[in-house]
Amino acid sequence: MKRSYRRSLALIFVAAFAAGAWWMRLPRSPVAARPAEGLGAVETTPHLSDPVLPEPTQVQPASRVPVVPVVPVVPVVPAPPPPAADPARAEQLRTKAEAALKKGELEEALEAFEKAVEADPFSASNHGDYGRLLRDLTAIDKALYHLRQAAELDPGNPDRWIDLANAYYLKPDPGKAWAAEKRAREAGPNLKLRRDRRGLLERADDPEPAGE
Amino acid sequence: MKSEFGSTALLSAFALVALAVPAGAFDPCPASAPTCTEYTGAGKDGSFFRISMPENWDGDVVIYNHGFDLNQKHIRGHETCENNGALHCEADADCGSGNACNEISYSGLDALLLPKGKAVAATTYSDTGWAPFHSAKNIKEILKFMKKEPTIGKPTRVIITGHSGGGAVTADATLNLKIDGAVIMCGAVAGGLPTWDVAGDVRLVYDFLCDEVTGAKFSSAPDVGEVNSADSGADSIAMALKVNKCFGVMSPSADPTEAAAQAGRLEDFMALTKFTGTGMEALTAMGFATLGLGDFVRDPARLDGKHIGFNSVPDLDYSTMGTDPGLAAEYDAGVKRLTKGSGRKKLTKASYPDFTKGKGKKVAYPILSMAGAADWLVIPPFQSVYDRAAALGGKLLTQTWISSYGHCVFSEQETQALFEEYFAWLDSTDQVTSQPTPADLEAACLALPGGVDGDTCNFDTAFVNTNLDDRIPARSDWPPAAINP
Repeated sequence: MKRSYRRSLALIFVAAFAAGAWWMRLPRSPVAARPAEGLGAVETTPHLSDPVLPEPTQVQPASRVPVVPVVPVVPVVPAPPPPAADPARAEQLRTKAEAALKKGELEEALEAFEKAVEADPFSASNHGDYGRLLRDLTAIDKALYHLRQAAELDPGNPDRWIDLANAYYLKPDPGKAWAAEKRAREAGPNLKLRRDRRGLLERADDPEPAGE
Repeated sequence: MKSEFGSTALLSAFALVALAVPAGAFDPCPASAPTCTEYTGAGKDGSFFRISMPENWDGDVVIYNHGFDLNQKHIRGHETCENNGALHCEADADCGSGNACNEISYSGLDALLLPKGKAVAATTYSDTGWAPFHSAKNIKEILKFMKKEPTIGKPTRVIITGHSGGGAVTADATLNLKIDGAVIMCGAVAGGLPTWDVAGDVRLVYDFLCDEVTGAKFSSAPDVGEVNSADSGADSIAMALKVNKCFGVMSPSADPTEAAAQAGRLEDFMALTKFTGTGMEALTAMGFATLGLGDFVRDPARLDGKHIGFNSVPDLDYSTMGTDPGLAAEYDAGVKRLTKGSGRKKLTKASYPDFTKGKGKKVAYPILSMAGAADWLVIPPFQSVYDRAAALGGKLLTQTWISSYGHCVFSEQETQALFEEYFAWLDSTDQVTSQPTPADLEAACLALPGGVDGDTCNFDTAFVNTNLDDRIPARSDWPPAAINP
């Protein structure tokens, strides 16, 4: 029984190896498909969660099969190809969203930001603005998704990492926040940070908010 | 042995391919322990777990428990897509546009503890939100796996830890599991009834102030809470928009009269609840009081719709609540009165801090706790309940306070000092004389690389806590430790 279990394991991982190699050749994420914008265009520092390739002698199994193996190792369906971008339409939608925000029309702002992200998923600003609004509306997981996208698209911009760190503090996942804060400091070596009244990070050179 | 080697070799080859993915992937091992071995799996109870083993394991495992999370899609395997648990992912991008890759996070503890030879593990729990109903079983699934897995084996010592709601799980583990240590971080440790009575009273204050405001009223009974859908983000947004209608915290009304009324209601909310957060944080607090409460009260596997309210017969006196006696008297006269709900007994059974009987009485290990002196969510009086329960049971507990604003805003150095001091205490032959003080933790923090007073080390050794009945009137069925002697 035990031997056949091991044989099955070996077969699963041979298949996994082959599928993994095939998977690497598929079109990847929007993030990988387009260069970063703005400050991050020439960014070369490693990503927050970039895997560090160990020396071959140090390689350990990334995953072993548990007692109840329920998680297939191989993706069943490949991710869809990156959608086409329409930056001009996205810009119109962002303008609409910002105007709605100014008028306090939060639902309209949310809808317009969401559509702006759909129109141009390669824009860090689209993801960043939408993510911050989601964060303020306490939708932290959705916010984290978009703030991660923003940071990956514009990794040289410390503000993207500050936003991400703050969302992780609100989660709360302090460990992830520390990692994002480190990336902010790497992106802006002279960056000075302080904490606001909510315990969130902000640039020390930002003006103090009124009433504090 | 040979066949074990065979599969390991294949696994390693696969690992090389898997590791070569582009940006956005999760690290299987932290940079501080690049040769760890990671195990992932599922329990028979519906939970999922992740275990990371260091190269030179000393036999200890630290089980990390995450905070309160209403997202059902997080009860998935590590590195599987939130939109489809059958899909393996290394990064969000693997799950298609708009979908996240689920990570079972250790919140940085793997980087701190694996180099010390400690194994680190975490569970998703089988429940969303308030997890202590079944979290002890979820933790047992990890331990069962470790014991059965030939390449791991039974741990020598099991140390439980966690942030926030994970602190509640940790406190529960000290009372319901046979473990060897506990480190609590910003933990909601006051037990089921005191914790959720505070949330319930926040909701009652909101209803008192906002029920008549167009678009601000919650339709659910205050002691049953709101219905949670499969889209926790949409639920949160809908809740926040309602609260914004009443308080105008995100965007005040364009009508100056209504904007002034919104500001007035927020001021009254703060005065009655003694809420120490900002207006924006009132949104989050209301999320707990409505969606958080509804999640477990309505769940057939937890309270199955049984109410948990209790502020009448005899009517609780709210006339001294808060900071404005005139407003409190008005509130006392106008607050909704709720008869004792039948869900209170089950909530008590699931989480009740008492070290004078049962497994809690047998606790023979030290407990170290770090909490925020200015935490607006897990308020300091919650700690006073657990600390007093430990004192009543004669247990060794050191409570430390961090002065940073926010909820669980702890630095890496503060956290590292916490665990270093804890293991020194746990390993000592005389745990009474070696009990660390908050000043010891502060000194340990300052001695670490990057440890800076008032920046990365914010231990507040002078903080004096208050009792829970300083916030809301005590209920007669609370644990003795929650009632001011």
